[in-house]
Amino acid sequence: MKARISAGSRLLGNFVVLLLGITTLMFFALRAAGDPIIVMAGENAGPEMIAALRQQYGFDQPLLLQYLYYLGNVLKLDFGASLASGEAALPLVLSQLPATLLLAFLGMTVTLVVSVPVGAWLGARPDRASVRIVSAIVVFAQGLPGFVTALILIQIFVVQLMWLPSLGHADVRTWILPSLSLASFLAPKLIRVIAANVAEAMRQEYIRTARSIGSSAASILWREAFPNAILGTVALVSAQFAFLFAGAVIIEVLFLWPGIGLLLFESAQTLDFPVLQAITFVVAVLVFLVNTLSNLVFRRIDPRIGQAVS
Amino acid sequence: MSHDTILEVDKLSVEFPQDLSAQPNVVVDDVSFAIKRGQMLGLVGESGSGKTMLALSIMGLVPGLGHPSSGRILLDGRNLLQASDDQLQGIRGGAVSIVFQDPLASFNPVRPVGSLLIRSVMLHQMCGEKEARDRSADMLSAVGIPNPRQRMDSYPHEFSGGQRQRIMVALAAINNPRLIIADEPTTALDATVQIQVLDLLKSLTADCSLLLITHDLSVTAGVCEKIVVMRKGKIVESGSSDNILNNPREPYTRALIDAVPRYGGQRLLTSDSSPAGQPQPLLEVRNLDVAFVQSGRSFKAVDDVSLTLNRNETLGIVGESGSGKSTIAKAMMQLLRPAAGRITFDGQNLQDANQHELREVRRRIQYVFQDPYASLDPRWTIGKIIAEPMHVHHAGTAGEVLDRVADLIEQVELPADAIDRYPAEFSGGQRQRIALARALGVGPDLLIADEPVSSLDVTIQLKIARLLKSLQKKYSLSLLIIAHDLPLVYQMTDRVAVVYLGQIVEQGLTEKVLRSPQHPYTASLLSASIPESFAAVAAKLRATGEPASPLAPPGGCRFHPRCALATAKCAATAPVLTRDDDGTDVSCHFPGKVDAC
Amino acid sequence: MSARANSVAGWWRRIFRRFGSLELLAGIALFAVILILILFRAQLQTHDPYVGDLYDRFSAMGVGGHLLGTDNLGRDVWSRLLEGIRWSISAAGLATVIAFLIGTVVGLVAAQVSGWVRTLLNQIVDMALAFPSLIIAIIIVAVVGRGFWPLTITLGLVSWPVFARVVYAETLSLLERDYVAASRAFGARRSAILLGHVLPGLRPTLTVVLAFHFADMLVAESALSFLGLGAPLGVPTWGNLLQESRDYLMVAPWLLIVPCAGIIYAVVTVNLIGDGLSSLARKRGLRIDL
Repeated sequence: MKARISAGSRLLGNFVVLLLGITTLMFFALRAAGDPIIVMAGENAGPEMIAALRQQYGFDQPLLLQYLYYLGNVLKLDFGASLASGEAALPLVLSQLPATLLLAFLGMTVTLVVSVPVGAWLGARPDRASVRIVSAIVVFAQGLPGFVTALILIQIFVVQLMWLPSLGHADVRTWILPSLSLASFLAPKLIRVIAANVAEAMRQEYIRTARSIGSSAASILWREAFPNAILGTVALVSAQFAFLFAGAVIIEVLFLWPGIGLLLFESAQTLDFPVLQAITFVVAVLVFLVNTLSNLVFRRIDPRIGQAVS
Repeated sequence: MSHDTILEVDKLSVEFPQDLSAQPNVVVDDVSFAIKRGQMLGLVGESGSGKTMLALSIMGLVPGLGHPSSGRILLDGRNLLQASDDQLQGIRGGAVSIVFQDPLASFNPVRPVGSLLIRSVMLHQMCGEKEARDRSADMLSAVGIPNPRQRMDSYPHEFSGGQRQRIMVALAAINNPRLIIADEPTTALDATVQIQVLDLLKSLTADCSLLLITHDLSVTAGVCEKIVVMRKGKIVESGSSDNILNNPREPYTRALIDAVPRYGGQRLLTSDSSPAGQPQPLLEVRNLDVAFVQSGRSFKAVDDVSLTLNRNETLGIVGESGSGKSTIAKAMMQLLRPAAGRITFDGQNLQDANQHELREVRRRIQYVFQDPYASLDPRWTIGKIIAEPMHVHHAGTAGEVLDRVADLIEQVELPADAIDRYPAEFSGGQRQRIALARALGVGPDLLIADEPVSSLDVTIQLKIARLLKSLQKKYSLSLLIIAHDLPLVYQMTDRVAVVYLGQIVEQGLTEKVLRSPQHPYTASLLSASIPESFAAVAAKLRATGEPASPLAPPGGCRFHPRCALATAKCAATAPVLTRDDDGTDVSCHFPGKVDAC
Repeated sequence: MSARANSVAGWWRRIFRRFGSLELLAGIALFAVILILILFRAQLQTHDPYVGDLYDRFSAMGVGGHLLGTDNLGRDVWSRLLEGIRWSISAAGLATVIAFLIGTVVGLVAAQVSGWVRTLLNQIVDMALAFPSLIIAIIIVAVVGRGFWPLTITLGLVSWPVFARVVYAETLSLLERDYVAASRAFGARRSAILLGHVLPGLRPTLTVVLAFHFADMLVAESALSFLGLGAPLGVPTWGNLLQESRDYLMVAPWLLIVPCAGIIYAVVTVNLIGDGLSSLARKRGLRIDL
């Protein structure tokens, strides 16, 4: 129990460090080279207008003061209001979060459904000819940047064949292309990781032991090799999440899917600081949650963790 | 083929294809032999002899692209090489089973140990899971695992090495096979545990045959009725174990037998080991403690150890794994910081030495590591490797260093062109020679060799040992040898210290300690390594169980839980190292008892 | 077999052994094509990449002397493609170098210190790896503006943790090898050990990571350009070309296909090199460690 508490507090400490680090970084980076007031005021605004705006949004204070004020607000979960629309920043971001989560869920599901069987099959017998061909296809597929695949899919299904609509996320039909595109982003990499882990597990000596008692090939793959391979894969979940999010941003922009990726893109163009800061915060929280969850899962399923090394 | 022949191997060849039209690599070449019902056959060979591939091909488990290219393997008359995959699966674990060498790697770390047993029973005995569980628990109990029903659900890392191997034996025996193949079943284990596992194998193979594969002839001595000797894929000689061990016909067999260090016969002593006059101490260790921290707890790997190494003398430190012997050596080399105690080299206290003095010490004491494959940087040429210490100590101009390197290469009996080649091109024995050359370059006074020959083949071991001794003589070195192989230590050392769980239990002149041991642990180590000389007393003195973990040593005398002669006093108080009339230090309450046996 | 056939087989075998695998050979050969296109850009371009003939708009591929057709302003796509490749490759290359330098230093330092410094560095790297760096990249570039140096430096600054993690793990493992302990035992200095044993030991892993990282940078650059946050408006990099093609998908699909093919070609090629290097390292490693 004591170990759990100390591990938990360490994790919390990590989270605080992350949060502080990211938000501070954002705060200073944003102000470093861009001036949102100019953007907001437009091209024809005179200097008095600009000064007035500056005062209104509190940008005329010294930097450090702004930072402290900001830090205090963060603790109250108040990120201010969007410079563009005037809505409160954090609620705005949170309102668009479900769309992104939906996309992520759909994309991840398709990815897993494809990657796990293919990856396991590829890893099981890496020297078979058929496997080499499929491997080559996967190598090729990994070279396809996700948005390229998305564009090609749009080209084929929307433009040429006119089967599927391309925008928004109202209707289930609009869900298909974005999830497929996101999956094409993630699947090749995941397939290779799973294949590598499975192949690595199959090379171990305990596979030989299982064969020596007469287990069938299928039984060996799924009972002995796969649990080990999954462990290795789960450990990479946090890195996968970063990748997933990057993919989601691009997909959302492409398909005008109203999630936080699209919001990020639009806010970046208008230098809408409060919203950008809020998005950073929300993403940091998500990262923390995903990491913690995967850590917990990892600890539960690996019997070696938590034991004193004998 | 007679009725009672279980397995007949007939002109079997196994080969591995190589890339791009090079000749295939033939690892088993036209081998034929037979095993009768209930017979125990020993298959002996060094690395590369093909013995493991032969065993694997019986079960159809040859890895990678290797395959049998000709010949037959007849199990009860049926040719296994023509059996279908399904038939083979039925035989594996059923009629024929195998015990592998490395019990840690052979178990799946994320599955409970019982799962394999249950699976095997369900596959071969056609019963349900509950029944299988019961039978597995019974088998585990038969091999000596306490609390089998609960332990079945434990994971491999929760057992000790010896226990894991017992579980492997259980796995092999559970379906009453006709033939058990044991591939180096004891090599990865401590000496005292090896004996136990071998006994276990012997007792279980009452109605089935055993094919014991090993590189160590002495292992076959007590166990096998028939011996087959292999070399580079071919059979060199075969016959009853009596004939082979006492009357070998082939020179290779003779070499194998001779290579096993024996008691008696010529010892490899330096002729000026006891010069007229007093021995001059070179390295003194007093009350050394070395502590480690693991999972938050600290424990002493080395506990109050005192040693003296004299000039031109060879001292041996023996013990099993976990005894702390390597740690003592590392502390001497200042690779580890001692928690307490004093180490003095040539009058200089190492703890107080400044940078400059310490550097000089690092020149005068050199270290040879155990694993010749890990101790040389694979990216450096041999010349660079040997010259490295000389460069570090600025021992001469570039030209002088080069000359010295060439000279050293010749001294260690390596070809002159080795200087520009890479370690990957050399064998284990050759790499150890390179390590020796490297150590000698800066003209040390003391050479510490940590298990210098244990990872080498038997015939090579003797050569390297001889080389070590001749170099010692030539350069007037003092030698500290750390080993677990008693006969080797007997051959090479003047004095020896026996270590158990971080403490010295007996030390003195090798001649005395290893001929008439006073401590029960020393006696049991001896009985484990030369069973036939000690056969009569062995049973009485044999150490039971396994070495305890250094994290939690037993109270009182640390050896008492395993000692056949232990009494209540041994459990209560720890004995003190005292010198007896022969000059031997013993740490036991009843030093005389061993003699009485 | 004739003597000549034998020598061909022998020559082939030697090449194979040198490269270890077909992948590496193929990858390098394919990449050489890219390099040639860059070096001989001026000679290979058929038209001016920035000026178009408005009477020639939307020519299909192969029509009227335009190898890959023209775009909405009549500009020759082939020439534009060549113009942009140099930009993309150098941006991605420089970003990789920046990330490599920062990351390697951090990794080496982290592996040698102990205590809170190491823990802190590790945490920073962990967090940086877990957080989607694209967000930061987008924000920074949006703020600073488009251009070669903003993009390159941003990508480098955002992706160095990848190198730090790998270098840290490898260095730790190398420092525990017996031959390093041996060097310490006879008194070698830390700097000598680093230079002589650790850095050469890092080389195989680093080359693999460098290759894959370069491929990732190529993708990142085109993604950011596509979003309008990378290469400046006029430069015809793949990403920009893709962006420009969006409005004309119905009319001129080749405007999409050409840059797609370009990106795919480059990225697959570099990935092949990375794969080849990795299996080469694995094979060599197996032989060394036996």
